Amino acid sequence: MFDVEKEIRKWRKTLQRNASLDEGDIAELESHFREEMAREVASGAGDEAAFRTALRHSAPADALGAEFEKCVPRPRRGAPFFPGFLRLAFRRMAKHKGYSLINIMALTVGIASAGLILLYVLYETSIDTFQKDIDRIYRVNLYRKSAQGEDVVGGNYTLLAPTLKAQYPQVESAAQVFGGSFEPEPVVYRDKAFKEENILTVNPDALDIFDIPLLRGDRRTALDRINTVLLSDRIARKYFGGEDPLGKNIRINDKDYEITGILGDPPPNTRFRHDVLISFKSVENEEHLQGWRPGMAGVMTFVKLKPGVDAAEFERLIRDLPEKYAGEALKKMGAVNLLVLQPLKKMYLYESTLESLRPSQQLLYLYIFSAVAGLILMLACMNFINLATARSACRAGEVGIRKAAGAERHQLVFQFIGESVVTAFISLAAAVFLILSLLPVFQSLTGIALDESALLRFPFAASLVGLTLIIGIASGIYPAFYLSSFRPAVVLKGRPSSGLKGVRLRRTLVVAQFAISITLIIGTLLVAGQVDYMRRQPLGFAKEQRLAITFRTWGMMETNYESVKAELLRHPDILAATACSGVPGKGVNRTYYYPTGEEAEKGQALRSLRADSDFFQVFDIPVVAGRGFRKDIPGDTDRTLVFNEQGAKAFGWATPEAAVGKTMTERQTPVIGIIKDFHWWGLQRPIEPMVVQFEPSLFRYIAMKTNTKDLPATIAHVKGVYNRLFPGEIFEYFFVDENFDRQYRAEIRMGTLFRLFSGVALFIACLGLFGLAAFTAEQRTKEIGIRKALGASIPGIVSLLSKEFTKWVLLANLLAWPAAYFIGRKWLENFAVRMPMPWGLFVLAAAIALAIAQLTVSFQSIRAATANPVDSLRYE
Amino acid sequence: MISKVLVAASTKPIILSILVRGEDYGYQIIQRVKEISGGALEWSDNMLYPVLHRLENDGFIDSRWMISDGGRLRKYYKLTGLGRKELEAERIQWMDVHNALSRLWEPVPAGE
Repeated sequence: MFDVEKEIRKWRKTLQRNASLDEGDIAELESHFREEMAREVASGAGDEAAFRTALRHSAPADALGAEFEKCVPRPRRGAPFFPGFLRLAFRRMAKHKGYSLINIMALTVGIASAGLILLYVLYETSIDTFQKDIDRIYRVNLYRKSAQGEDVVGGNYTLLAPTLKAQYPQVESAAQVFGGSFEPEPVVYRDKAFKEENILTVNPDALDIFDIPLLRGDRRTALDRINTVLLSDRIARKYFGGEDPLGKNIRINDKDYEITGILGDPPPNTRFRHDVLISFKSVENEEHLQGWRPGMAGVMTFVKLKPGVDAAEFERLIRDLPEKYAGEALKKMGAVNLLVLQPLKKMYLYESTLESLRPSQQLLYLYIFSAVAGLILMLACMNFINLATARSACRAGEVGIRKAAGAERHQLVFQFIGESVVTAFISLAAAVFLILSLLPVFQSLTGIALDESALLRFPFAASLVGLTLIIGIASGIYPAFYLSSFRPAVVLKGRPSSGLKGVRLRRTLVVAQFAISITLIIGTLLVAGQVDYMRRQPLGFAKEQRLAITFRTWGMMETNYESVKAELLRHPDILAATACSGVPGKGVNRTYYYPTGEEAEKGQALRSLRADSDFFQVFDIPVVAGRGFRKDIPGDTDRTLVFNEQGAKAFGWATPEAAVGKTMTERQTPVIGIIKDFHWWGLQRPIEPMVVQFEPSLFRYIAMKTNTKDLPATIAHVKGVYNRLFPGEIFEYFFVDENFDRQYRAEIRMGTLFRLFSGVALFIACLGLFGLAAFTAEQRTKEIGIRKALGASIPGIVSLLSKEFTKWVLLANLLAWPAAYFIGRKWLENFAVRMPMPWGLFVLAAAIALAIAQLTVSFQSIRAATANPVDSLRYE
Repeated sequence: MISKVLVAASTKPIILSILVRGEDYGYQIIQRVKEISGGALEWSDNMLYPVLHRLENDGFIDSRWMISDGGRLRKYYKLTGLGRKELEAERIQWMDVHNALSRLWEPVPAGE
């Protein structure tokens, strides 16, 4: 059976393969072909005969192509390996530069933003997950429960690691990692002296567990002896330059260590920055690291299990070890200790609890930013869909012709999707350049270390390409089906109505875009507002204009702190000074106390600050009952206690006054005063019970209340005094408020990123609006001309065009507000002190969105409104 | 049989002359040429359409797609203002040639 349509399709295909013929040419040739056939049929021929005759009369594709090529200048063709639909896509894009530009810009910015966020997320999730055998490595955490509450900490019993390795065949290696001090420690080699932050004390197994490469030295023996140290290549160069460091001695915190090996530099994505690794043997004999002593536990323990060992089963086996080795002491304290395993690869983004792992704040931020990236991409896709459907009328003719000429619907769908995929990939190329140029800025904003090579790494490159493909298809698919649904008979007989369906969709998309943008704007304002709120919140102490200097170690000013203070106070701008073991925002230990005569179980581990008599004055912390320390009462030193209100409450004393005069422990240390509660740490954390003791042997800081009249001179004075009194030491100072605000770094960083990305979102939404406004203005050119000719004013016409968009943006607010409220409230729950839901911000966000939308639209409307009416009437 | 060169040269004035009478589509134009020339001019598709497209590119003619009552898709061409002027210029040239040849081919008076 002769299928004439099939034969015509085949014939058409031969023409389509010829690059010199475009769709229009082929449609026309086909029309001719069919006329020819129709005449044959009319004169009595059968389908097949008619087809053969028409075929005989028509020229072969090559000849046709050659002839067309000769007569009609063709646009330059794309490279020959591009399939036909791509060539068409390029041709179309070149024809409509304005719209293509808007689409490409929006997609470029969208893909670049998503790419940056992706880099960030990949980096964060890569932290400490690169170690060999990562699936077998666990940190053994300590679950602690006492009358005061429960928590899970990373620091564990000193002897846990060796015990596990010796007694459990499941354990391949067990590392002891001891962090040491809160402050950077001085490292000295000859004339080179710096403070180093990344000093860890570890046993030999740590090299294996953390997969640390040893460039020189013997892996097995390097950490075997007391007072040996391994330096990273970077640090070795810093101190030794070209010299060979092996076998030399280096002074770390006043102790000499022999260098027994050089380590490969730590990668950026690790939290175990092994720049200086001291052998654990060197500290083993220190008193506070002895044995199975609860309360002294502070050595992190990592185990690598043998292949095939079931971690859950192993956890059950070791869970009660503290009971076995420290049961007596724990009972006395009324405490329970259990061991919990935490996989190394889930150490950064999860927090350990007794039962399971809990997502950390950091993970929440990763989720939020991933969602933001998704939203931004959605915005860019919506732009594409919006502009494509808005301009459907322009393309309806093309669709009609091609369909009438026999193009199948799926061919059209492929073509349209092809166009959007091409657009997406052009945008990808531009986005890669954008990412490269923004990388340094982004690094300093996020604090992550990345280089260009990160862009080439597999998961990133593959996801970005995959994402681009998805974007191309997602944004092309609706327009493709929408456009290809046009019926040729309708569109070719007259201008197709732009279709109610299309209008409604566009309105929905613009509203959605603005709803997303407004949500992000509210998010931005909320984060900024909360950070600001936290910074302005009364902390219970004065942090501004407080200068502090750090001492290398405890005891350096045990005997002479009063004279050091006196020297410092000679400067008129130094108003008061105190020596102390810490200042707010820095680390502070805990000490265990119980009331005299009570069972030890009634005790509490309190945050324990050591400070002299001037601390409360320097930081303006009021004493609410009793008195503070007095230097003229010798017994105050080391023999008296001051609690904060929480501390008094922790022991069940009803009022501050009731606490004064009570004594603690068997030593009967008297409580002489109660100070008002103040925030030692940022407002994310609640105020904890605290005890203050006048104990000079633990002083490490001097904090000063200063007058900022001439800061450089004040600092110069302090430095002069320090260098004179402590020759050979490294002078180091900081401002208490700056140091304190560092605790809000995550929030500030989040705020900056949020601002950046909501700006991007708004930009994309406005691009779309700009395109739509241009289109609307163009469509209404004639109407505007007539109105002007009839005497309408320019402002009248501008408002005519703007009114519609204003309505949409206002509607978007209605959607954005509940969403922003819900998410915002959830986020604020992370803070112990949070601002009241700021409704003003919602209105502000609405105003910002409206203003920007107005500005975008009015640019187009003003252009349309100021055009000469005669020009616009002549149009068409 | 008219020579190839002459056919090619005359395509443009003939198309313009047909379209000055009204809108028309490709197949119909070929039929008309055949009719008018009494079968002496038989154009093929690969002669006509490229020229139509060039004329359109040059702005002498304009086109639009339409669907006939029979549901057939056709591309119609019509003359533009520029096309009329071009036709006039062509007409003068062709008339000049025609006049010259006519005079040359007038029967020679006997006896001279």
